[in-house]
Amino acid sequence: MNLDNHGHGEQLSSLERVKQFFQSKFGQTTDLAVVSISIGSYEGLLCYLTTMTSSDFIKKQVLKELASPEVSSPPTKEAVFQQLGNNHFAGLTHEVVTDLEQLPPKIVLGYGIILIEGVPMALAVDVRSLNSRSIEEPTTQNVVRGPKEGFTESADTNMSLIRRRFNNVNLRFEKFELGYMTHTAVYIAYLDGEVDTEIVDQVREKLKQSHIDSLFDSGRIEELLHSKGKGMQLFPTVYNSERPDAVCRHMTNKRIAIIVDGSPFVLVVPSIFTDFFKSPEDEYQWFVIGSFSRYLRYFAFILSLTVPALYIAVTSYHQELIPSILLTSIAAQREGIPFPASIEILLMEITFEILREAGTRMPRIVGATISIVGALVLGEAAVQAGVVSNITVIVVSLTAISGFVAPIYTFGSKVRFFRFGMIVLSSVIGLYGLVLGCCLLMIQLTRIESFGVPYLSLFSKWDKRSVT
Amino acid sequence: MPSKVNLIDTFTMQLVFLLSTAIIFGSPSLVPDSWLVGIIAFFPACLLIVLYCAMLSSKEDMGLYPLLERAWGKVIGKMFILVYSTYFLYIAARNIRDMIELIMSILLRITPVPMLTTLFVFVIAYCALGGIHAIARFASLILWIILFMLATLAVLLMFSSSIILEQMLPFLSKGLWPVVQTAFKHSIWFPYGEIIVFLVFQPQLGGAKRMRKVTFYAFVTTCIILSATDLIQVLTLGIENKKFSVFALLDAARLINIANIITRMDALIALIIMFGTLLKCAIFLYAAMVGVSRIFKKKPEDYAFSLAMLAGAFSILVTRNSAEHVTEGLKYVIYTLHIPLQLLVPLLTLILLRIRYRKGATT
Repeated sequence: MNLDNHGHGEQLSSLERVKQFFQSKFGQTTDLAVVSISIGSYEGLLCYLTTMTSSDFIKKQVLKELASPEVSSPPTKEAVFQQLGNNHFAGLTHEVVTDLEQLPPKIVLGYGIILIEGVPMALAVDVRSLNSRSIEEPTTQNVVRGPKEGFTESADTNMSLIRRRFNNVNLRFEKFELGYMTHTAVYIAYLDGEVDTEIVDQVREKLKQSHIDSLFDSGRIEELLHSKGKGMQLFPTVYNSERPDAVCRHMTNKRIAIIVDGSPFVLVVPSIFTDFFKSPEDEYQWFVIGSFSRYLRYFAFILSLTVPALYIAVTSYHQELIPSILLTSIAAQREGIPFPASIEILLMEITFEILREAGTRMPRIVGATISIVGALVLGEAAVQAGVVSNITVIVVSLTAISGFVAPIYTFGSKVRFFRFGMIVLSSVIGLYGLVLGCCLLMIQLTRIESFGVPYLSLFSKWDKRSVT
Repeated sequence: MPSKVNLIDTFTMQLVFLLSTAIIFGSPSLVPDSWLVGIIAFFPACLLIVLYCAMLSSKEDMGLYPLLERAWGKVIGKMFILVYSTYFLYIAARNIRDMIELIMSILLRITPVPMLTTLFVFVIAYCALGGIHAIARFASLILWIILFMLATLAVLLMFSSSIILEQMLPFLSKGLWPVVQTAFKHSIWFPYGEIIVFLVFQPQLGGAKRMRKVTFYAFVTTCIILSATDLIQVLTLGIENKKFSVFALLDAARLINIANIITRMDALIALIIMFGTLLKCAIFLYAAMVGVSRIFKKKPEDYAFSLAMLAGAFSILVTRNSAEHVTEGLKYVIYTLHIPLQLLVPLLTLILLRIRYRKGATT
C-alpha cells in the first residue's frame, strides 16, 4: 500500500486508486461488488459485500435514492454528500469517512460505501440485510403458560426482543468485538442504576482481555466469565437462556445479560445457585404452585445426586437401616444376581448415560429406535436375564428422571459427575462416604463466588450486595 | 478493610458451632436434673461475652492474636498465640475423636480408624480453606439440617409414644446446689466458653458491638435448644438410663418405632451430627491456621492440610480408649485448658490492655 500519512483524503478522491486499494485488501474474493455508478452528472463508485446484503435491498434502498431527481442536479459535489446523508439515507445508519483505511472494516460489517470522483470523502451506509431464522418457540426451556418467543441467532433481533420488554431509558447496550479471526459482535445489556457498576466493570474488563480466536456460541464466553480462583469450577456460575422473558426477569434483579451474535443462548451474570432452579413459569402461576414446583426441583436435585449412592450404601453396609419387610424383598430380588450392588448400579448408570448421549445426538427420525432398545432390551430383558435386579432398574430410572428436572440443561449435565463420585464414595465406605461427599459438595457450593456474589447463601436477603 | 460476614450468617455460624457436639452429649449427666444445668449455665456464660467484648473494644476490634501481642509484648504474645493455636487444634482433635467414636459405635464397626479420620480431616481442611465467609455460609446450610433433624426427632418420638412425662421425676431431689455446681464446673466452658475462638475472626465479623448482640442471641438460642434436647432425652430415657448412656440423644432416637417402618433413626442422626462436627472443627482449624501463619509469616492457606492432618493424628494418639477420652474431657481438659485459656488469660489480657493503653494515653 502506497499510502502516505498526510494524504488520506486525497486517496479517496481518485476512484482508480480506491479500486486498487480494495483489490489489494480483499484480493480475489468474489462477493465484493465494486460498481461504477453515476450520481447525477458525477462519476461515482458503490462498494459492498454481496454476502452481507440482498440485491433487493441495494436496489430499493440505495440505487433508487441515488437516482432520485434532487440528487441529479446538485450545486456542488460536496452538497451531494450532504443531501444524501441528511435526506436520503437518514433512516439508515450512515457515516462520512475520510480515511481510506477505515473502509475495509466497514465493508466487512455490511456497510455500502459511496464515493464520488474528486471528493475526498466517502459515505458509509449500513446496508446489512441478512437472512436469519424467524422468532420461534424456544426448544430448551419449555413453558405451558407464558410467552413463546425465543432468542434467535441474530443479535439485532435478540436486542430488540429485550428492548421491547423494557420501555425504559435506563436500558443500555454496549458493544464489544471478540475473536481476532471472527470479530464477533458481543453486546452486554443492563439496566443502568440497577446494576452494581463494579460488576459491570469486571465484565467489561473480562471481555476486553479475552484472548480467543473465534466465537460461534456463547458457550466460549461462559468459560471466560466463570469465576476462577476459589476451588474448582464444578457448578455453572453463568446462567444461559433462550427465553427473553427469563433474561429480562434477571436483568431487573441487578444482572447483566450478554448477547453473542450467532448464538440463541443469552448469558446472564452474576448468577447464583437458586437461579438454576427457577423456571420463568413459576411466576406466571399462582405462587403456591410455583414454589411447590421449585421445591420439587430442589428435592429432585438431591434425589438425583444421592439415590444410587444411598442404595449402594444401605444394601451393602447398613442393612439394619432398611425396614425388615423391604429388606427381605430386596434380598429376594438380588438372590440370583452375580454382581455386588455397586457394580450393578454403575453398569446401569453407564448404560443410561450412553443411551442419553445417543438420544440427543442421533437424527430425529431414528429416535424411536433408542426408546425401544432402551426400554425393552435394557430394562425388561436385563432383569429377566438375571443381570440386574428390578430394584436397580427402579433406582436408576428414578435418578435419571430426577436428573432432567433442572430447568437449565447445563446444570443438569454437571450433576451427573457428582453422582458418579457419590457412587464411588459410598461403595468404598458406605453412608460415611456419602455424607462426606455431600459435605464436600455443600462446601464447594458455599465457597464459590460469582463476581463477588456468594453462589449459595441462604440469608443473602439480608446482605446489601445481594442479587436475589 | 476486609468485607464483613453478614449478621445472620454470623449468628447461624455461632449457633451451629455451639450446638454441634454439645447436642449429642447433652449436658453432662452428673446430676439428675441435667436439663436444668444448661439453663443455669447460660447466665454466667453471658459474663464471658462481657469479658470478651471488653477485651475487643479496648483496642479497636483487632482480633484475639493482635490483642495478645499488644498486651503481652512481642515475645510472650507470640507464645500465647502458639498456645491458643495448639489449644484450638486440640479441641478440634477432641471433636474429631468424638465423632469417630460415634461412627465406630453405630455405622462402621470394623473400618480402620485412621482411614475414617484421614478422610474427615481432608474435608475439614477443604472447608477451612474457603475462609470465614464460606464457612459462615456453610453453617447456615447446616443449621437447617440440624433444626429439621431435631424437630423430626421430637415429632417422631411423640408419635411412637416414647415421651413419658413422669420420667422427669424426681425433680430436684438433691436440691438446686449440685445443679449449679455442675453448671459452673462444666457447661460454662463447654460449649459456651469455646466461643472464644470467634475472637480470632473479629475483624471480619464486625467487632465488639456486633459480637455483643449476635453472640448473646446465639447463646439464648443455644440454651433453649440444648435444654429442649436434654429434656427430650430425660423424658424418653429416664434419669437413670440417661446417666449411663454415652450418646444420649442417639439412644433416645433408637426408641423411635412407627408401624415398624420408621425405625433406626439413630444412624441418620449420627450422620447429621457429622455436619455439625465438620463445621466446628473447620472453625477451630481455621483459627489455628491464622495463629500459626501469624507467627511463621506465611499465608494461612499454606497450613490447612498439614494442620488438619495434625489434628487427625492428635485425635487418634491423644487417648487410648473411649473411656479415657471421656474422663479426660470431663476432668482434666476443663481445669488445665478451658478455665485458664477461656477465663484467666483473657482476663489478664484485658487488665493489661486497660493499664497499658489507658484512655487518651498514647504509646
